[in-house]
Amino acid sequence: MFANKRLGKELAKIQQSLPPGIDFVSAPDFKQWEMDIRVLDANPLYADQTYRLRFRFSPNYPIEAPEVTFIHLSQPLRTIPIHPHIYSNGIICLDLLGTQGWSPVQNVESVCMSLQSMLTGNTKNERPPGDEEFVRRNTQRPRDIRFVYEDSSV
Amino acid sequence: MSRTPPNVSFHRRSVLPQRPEINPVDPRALEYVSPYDHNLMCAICYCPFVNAVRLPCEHVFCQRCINDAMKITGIGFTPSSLNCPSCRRMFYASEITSMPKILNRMLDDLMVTCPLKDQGCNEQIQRCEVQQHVDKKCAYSEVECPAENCLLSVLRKDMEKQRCLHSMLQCEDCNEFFMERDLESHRTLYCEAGRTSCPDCKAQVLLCDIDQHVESCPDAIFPCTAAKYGCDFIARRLALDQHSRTCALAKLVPFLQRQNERLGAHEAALKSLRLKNSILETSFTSFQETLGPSTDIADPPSSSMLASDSSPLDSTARHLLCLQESLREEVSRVSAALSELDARTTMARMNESLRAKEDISHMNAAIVGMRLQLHRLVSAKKVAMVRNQTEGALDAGAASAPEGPSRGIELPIRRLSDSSRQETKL
Ligand SMILES: [Zn+2]
Ligand SMILES: [Zn+2]
Ligand SMILES: [Zn+2]
Ligand SMILES: [Zn+2]
Ligand SMILES: [Zn+2]
Ligand SMILES: [Zn+2]
Ligand SMILES: [Zn+2]
Repeated sequence: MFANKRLGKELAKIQQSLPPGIDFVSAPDFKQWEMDIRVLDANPLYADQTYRLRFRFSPNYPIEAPEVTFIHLSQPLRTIPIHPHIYSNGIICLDLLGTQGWSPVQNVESVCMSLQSMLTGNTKNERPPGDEEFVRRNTQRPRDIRFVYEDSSV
Repeated sequence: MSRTPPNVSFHRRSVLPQRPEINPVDPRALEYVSPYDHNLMCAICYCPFVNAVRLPCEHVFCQRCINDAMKITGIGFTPSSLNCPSCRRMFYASEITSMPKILNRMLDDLMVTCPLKDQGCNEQIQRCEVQQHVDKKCAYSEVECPAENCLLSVLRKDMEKQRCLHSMLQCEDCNEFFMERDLESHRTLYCEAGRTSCPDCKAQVLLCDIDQHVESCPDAIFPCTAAKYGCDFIARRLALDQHSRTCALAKLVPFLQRQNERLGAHEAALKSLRLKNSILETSFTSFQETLGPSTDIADPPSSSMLASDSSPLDSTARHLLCLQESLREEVSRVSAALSELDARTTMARMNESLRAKEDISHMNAAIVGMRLQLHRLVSAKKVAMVRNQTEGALDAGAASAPEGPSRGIELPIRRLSDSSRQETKL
């Protein structure tokens, strides 16, 4: 497959320029990258916070969606943003990242921008319903979880 | 990207018989050499379109990219309908149309690098000929072993060896056995025993490459470049680079080096000058001895005056110069005196000779006077004698007498008047 070639081209572009609030962190190989995102307006939920995203790519990328999660770090401090579609273990419930919602014309940059706008538009200071239960029981990788995207407006 | 052995199963000791298989080249995984218009780039594979097809929504993709996308969404089977990846409009497979052939042909002419570049092939080929290159020409693609009974594969470039490269050989470092065709890559890329860890960065390095690695090891510890000039900083290469950008001493290093060089040159020059000076001094003292006291007078003031404002080397040199100067003056003074003396003697001699000349002329005049007087006396005597004779011979003959005496008398008379004039002058 051509995953590596495509990721190589994306990386070259990312290292040249990125939209404001999105920063490249690391890409040690073509399997796992890390990016930082920030909310640009003064949303009190996310003000002055930067969040770390981990991308995992399968050999079928971009036909298959990458696995994208928020990760927790202490140095530098990175927390999991509070959002009704983001579980406290960092798993994101976004149709764009599911098999149905994904499109192979999406890329790392566009996913970052979607997540950025998802945070910007949020006003609810809450986790998804059943967060504790989900976090305790979930051993699956996010790709294999069958979410029901009940709220397509977010 | 690190090189991977052409077939991993051959690398370890396995001897599974395997025929080389034809690897279909995916044109979307190629590296493009020639530039291309970015409007002709597929939004899925980010490559120039390969067999471009058009959806009813006017969006264009590679045929294989659309097929792949349909397969994945259909999970296991190819569905008859899909949403356009770009605009999400639904379409049926039957609605896909192909693009003009000329477009595909132009894109097929783009130059790409050989997909076996990582194995060592440096060829550049047109995209449409890549498959043929890999199958028929590429020196780094796998082909059947030339040995008759062998079912294994070799690289095409090794074919010319015309023998089976699948016999097992032992690695000298780890004593494990490998096929001859894999031994070289094992030793340069994989053998653990042939490696040593770098003392600084702990990286595994081939024994034969360790010297080269240490030269460039990012973790090796070095002192600051200005260590010689007093900077105590010692750090890993990276930190050191940063340090030398801020270290004031490191910035001065080129200048200090130049100063050092100059100092060395000066010292050498000084040494040779000292030698020259000592030679001059010895010759000078001998010179001084031969010249005696006159130089002693010129010596003390000049040396005391010069020693005050310059180095000892300079003062002795100048001292010598002064001495020479005074000697020269002495000589000129002497020569002036000599010429004066010469002139005086010439004058004296001239005066003397003038006086002598005058005396001589006086004497000459006196002699002339005396001669005249003598002459007058003689002629007077003659006249007296002639008168006596005529008186005596008046009787003997008168005919011849008038002629002779008249001549003899006339001459002395005239002379007399001359000499009298000269006498008055004296
Ligand atoms: Zn494509
Ligand atoms: Zn479309
Ligand atoms: Zn080749
Ligand atoms: Zn063989
Ligand atoms: Zn070995
Ligand atoms: Zn090292
Ligand atoms: Zn320094």
